[in-house]
Parts: sequence; C-alpha cells; structure tokens
Amino acid sequence: MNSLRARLLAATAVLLLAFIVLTGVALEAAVSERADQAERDRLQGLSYALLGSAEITADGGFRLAPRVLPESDLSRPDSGLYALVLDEDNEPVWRSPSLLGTIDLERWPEVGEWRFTRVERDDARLITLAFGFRWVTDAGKDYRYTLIVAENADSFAKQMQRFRGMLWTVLSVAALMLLLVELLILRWGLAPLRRLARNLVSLQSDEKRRIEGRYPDEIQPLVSNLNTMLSNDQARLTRYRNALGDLAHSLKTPMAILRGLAEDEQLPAAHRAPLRNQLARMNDILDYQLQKAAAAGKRSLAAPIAIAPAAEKLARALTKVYAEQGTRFDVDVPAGLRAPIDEGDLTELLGNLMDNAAKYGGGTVRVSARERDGDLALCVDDDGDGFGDGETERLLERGVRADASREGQGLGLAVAAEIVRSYTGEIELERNEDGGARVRALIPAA
Amino acid sequence: MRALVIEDDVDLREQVCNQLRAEGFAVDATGEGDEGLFYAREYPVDIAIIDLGLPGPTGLDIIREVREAGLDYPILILTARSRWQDKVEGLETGADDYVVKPFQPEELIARIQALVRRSRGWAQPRLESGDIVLDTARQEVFVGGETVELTAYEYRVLEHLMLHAGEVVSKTALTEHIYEENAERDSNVIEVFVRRLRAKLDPDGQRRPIETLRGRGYRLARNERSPAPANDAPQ
Repeated sequence: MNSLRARLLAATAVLLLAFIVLTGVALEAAVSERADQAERDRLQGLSYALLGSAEITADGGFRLAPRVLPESDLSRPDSGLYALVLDEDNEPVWRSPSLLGTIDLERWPEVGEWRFTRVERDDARLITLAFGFRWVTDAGKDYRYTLIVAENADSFAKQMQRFRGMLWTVLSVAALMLLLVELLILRWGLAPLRRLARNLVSLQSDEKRRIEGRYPDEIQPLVSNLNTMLSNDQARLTRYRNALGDLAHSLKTPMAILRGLAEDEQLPAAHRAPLRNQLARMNDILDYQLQKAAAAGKRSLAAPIAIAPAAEKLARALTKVYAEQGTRFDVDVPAGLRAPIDEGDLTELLGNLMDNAAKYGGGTVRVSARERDGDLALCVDDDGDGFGDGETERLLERGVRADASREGQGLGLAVAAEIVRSYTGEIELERNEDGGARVRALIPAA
Repeated sequence: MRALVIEDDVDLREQVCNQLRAEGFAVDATGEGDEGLFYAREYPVDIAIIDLGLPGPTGLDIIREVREAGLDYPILILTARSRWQDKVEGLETGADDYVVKPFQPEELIARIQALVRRSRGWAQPRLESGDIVLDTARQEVFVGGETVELTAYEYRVLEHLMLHAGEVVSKTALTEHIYEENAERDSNVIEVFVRRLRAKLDPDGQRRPIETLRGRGYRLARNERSPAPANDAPQ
C-alpha cells in the first residue's frame, strides 16, 4: 500500500462497497415492506369482498354463496389463492373450492383483529390474513367466526427474488463502473506526479540538471525549488572550489618564494634542510586538506558522468607530462559507461591514481572501468614492482604522515581514498597478474 | 635560449629569472597578462613559463592565443592549484608540462631544459655533435672526453647551435635567442663568440665543427645518431 493510487483506490473501493451494500439493504427492506403492505391490502380487499357476499343460513350456518367468487382463482383447485371460514371451535364451515384441506394458525385472531402472518404448510408457504368477527343475526343469534384468506407465498417470494437479483446486479454494475471511472480519474489526476517521477529519473541519466515542463499549482513550487536547489548546488560547488583554489594560490606563491630562498647558498646548510622539510610538510598538509575539502562526494540527483572522456583527457595530459620517461597510458573504458560521480572528483581520483602509477610503475599505466551490478569499478594498473607487504594500510591512511618529505604516493593515494570514501565506496590496493600495483576503486551506484 | 617568464608575484618572478639566467638562459619577464601575451606572440621565445593564476588575461588565455597563432615553442605552467582539473585544463589548452608551487628550483630547471631539448628532438640531456658533447643538465662541454671551459655567452651560442644541429642558424637568430629583449646587441659580437668557440673546440683547426655559410649563418654537423630536428616538437 505504498502508492498514492493504491491508497486512494483502496479507500474509494471500501467506501463504495459500504455505500452500495447499505443502499441495497435499505432499498430491499423498503421494497419488501411495501410489497408486504400491498399483499396485505389485497388480501384485506378480498376479505371484504368475501364478507360482503356472505350470509347466514336460517340454521345459523355461515354461507358464502356468491354467484361469482371475487377472484376466479378461488374456485380453481389448488390455484394458490384460498379462503376459509372457521367457526368458534375452529372447525371449517366454508372453504373456497381452491382449498384442499385446512389452514392452521398458531394464534387465532381476536374479534375485530386482522392477523397477517406467514404459515408453513406441508407443500407450500402461505401468506395469510386472518380476521376474527362476530355475526349477529336478526334473530338475535350470535356467531363467532374466523375468516382466513391465504395466498401461496412462492410467487410473492419469486417476485421479491427477481427484484433482489435485479437490484444487486444494477448496484454491482454501478459500483464497477464507478471504480473504473475512479481509476481513470486517479490516472489523470496523478499524471503530473508520474511525469515528475519520470523526469527525476531521467535527471540522473541526463546531462541537464533541470526538471522541465509545467506542473499543477500544488507541485509547481516543489519543482521550482528543486530546480533552484539543483542549479545552486552546482554553482555553490564551483564557487567553493574556486575559493579553495584562490586560497591555494595565495598561500603557495609565498611558499614557492620561501622554497627558492631555502636554496640560497648563503644560508647555513643546517638551516636549509629543515626549512625545506617544513615547507614540504606544510605543502602536503595544504594539498591534502584542500583536495579533501574540494571533493563533492555523493550528491542526490547527480547527473552521471561519462567515464571515458575524463580518463582519456587525463591520459593525454599525463602522456605530455611523462614524455621524458615515455610512459604509456592505456585507457580501457567502454564508450557509454557513466557513473553518478562528480566530474571534478572523478578527475582527481583518476589523476592521483594514474600519476602515482606513472611515478612508481615501469612505464605502462592501464586504466580500466567496468560496470558491475550497477556499481562502477575503476582499476589503475602499473607494471612496476607492486606495493610492498604491509605498506597498503599506511598508504591509505587518513591524513598526511607528519614526516612525509615530498608529495608522493602517500598523499596521492590518501586523497584518492578520501574521494572514494566520500562516495561510500571501497578502495583496495592489490598486486596484479604481472606483479605490478593495482588500485581498485568501487563506487556504488546509489 | 630565450625564456619568457610570466608570473605576477614580483619576488617569485625574480627568483625564477635568476635561476634561469644562472643556467644560461636569456630571460624576458613580466607580471602583466597583456604584456605577457604580447611578448609571447612577438618575441623569439624558446620556452615560456606561465603562471596560471594571472590577473587580466589568465595563463590559459595566453596559452590558447599562442597556440592559435601557430607558435609551437614549449610552455610550462606554474600553478598553485594542485587539482587535476586545473592541470589537465592547462595541458589540454596547449601547455606541455606543469610544475606545482612550491617547487624545487632544480626540478623547475630540469623540466624546462627537458622541454627545450625535446622540442628540438633531443631525447637525451646530452647533446652530441661529432666529438663535442654538451651536458645541458650540468652545463658542461666536452671535446673528445676533455672538459672545455666556456663563458656564459659562448655556452649559449654552442647550446643553440647544437640544439639546431644540422640546420643553418643565422646570426640574427643567434642574437635573438641568446640576448634578452632589452640587452645591448651587436651581431658582430656573434662572430667573435663563434671564433672563440672554434678556437676552444678545435684548437688545431682539424675538424672544423662549426661551418660558416656565407651570408646565411652557421651550421653544426648533425650526428647520424641524433634525431631529426623538431620531429618531437610539441603541438
């Protein structure tokens, strides 16, 4: 239940179901009561018609002798419509031709009382209306009778059944249609959100760091803010790096002058060496901290960067720098390979690793990159003597070693490790098949 | 060798200039981007040392303009920014090497000399012509294994001729490449230098290592072993 559509749909479905059921039950009850009432009225009308044509014989017998019975069904045997008159002792005194046998009631009506009940008979269910009355003849004789008019309930039940079937069919169809409409409404209503989600995804596979398009008033502010954040994010990083660069520039130029002065022959040799060492130390600390600070690290919604161009650019640049040694830089990176890493970070990471490999290797540096389960695996190999045993821990150590005398492997690898860590990745130093050093960096996709 | 130094910090500029002069370079220097750009385009530069963090036209702008003008002398960038992106940008724009501040003076000089040498097609720091050997790293000259003492200008002339071994080098070109822009020049002095060089390199006049081509200039014989000139020139 983790999608807006599912939630809305579930809520609507429950609500709709409750509404339909209640409506159905209420309608059924109302119609059923109305049908009962109509049946009772009909039976009562029939009773009146029968009573109207009744007479008492001279001997006090009750005689119903209409020339025509008010309903022809009363005269057809077992037609389903019956009438019965019982005397004081509940002995039948007259029965309509349609009735075979008798009708038993659980309770007999009082005089003047109409009793409307349903009765189970062996072969059928009857709806009965019983009326208790007293007949006083002109001769002053007083007779107590009960008139029962009954109709077979089957046809009534059948009618109700039909009605019920139709009622629930119509309601179910209506409910289904409403749900379908609701589905369409949700689709249409949530379409902007889906579009936003799509754009967010494409943002990560796209160079442009912007969400395009116009959105409904409810989410447009969110989109605008997101766009502002995305552009500020990049601008801030650039500003920050420039500031760090300026800081480096303003500190390192004086340091360069001091470094030059440290060569002055007039200074005692005992002073020159410590001066040089301290300057080198300051420089290492500065370099390490600045490079560490300039690392962008993992950022959300970052556009993935193509790996090959950055690696090839570095290879071209470093080929120039190592022209004297004739170092070869081989780049083995699939053309379309991209990873969500900041371009500056990627360049620093590869630059440090490739420079190290060129400095300490045997003349050939190989950069390879592969995608492994969505993660980026970078390898920089050289053909030197590889890392010494127990050296790897020290090289990856955070921070600069206090006695580091020159910019070297320690610093470059420490910076590289710092960058990889800022992407929650892993860096490993190994020996490759040819005995050379291999640095492997794994940058997770997300 | 004419070196152009464009660095806005006065003290550092002076320091670099002095180091270069001590290594036998004729040095022009400026701290202004505009002026630097003019020098870079108009002077007969053998190598340019350019600070990336210049005010006005930046170091990158100058490098770009130089390369767009079709000039292919080597360029070394000085940068305080140790970020690879900055270095790569400079190298992609047309620089040939970089040195990060603060640098060891010897390393700077070594890089500069290597760049100049390679731009003329010499793979080794030892330049050879016949039995003359010039060690650019140590600024020493040997003839048949014997050390020969040269003055600074004699060294500059020989170095230029050796870097351009096999080519005819005019007196004007020699003057331009061994003197700084604001130095007193006299092309007749070149003849004096060459005469003295001949005396020192070939005291008994047997081998005549420096050829004179009347009206055109001088030429130093190129060894079979030494590479064709300028086949390794950057850009």
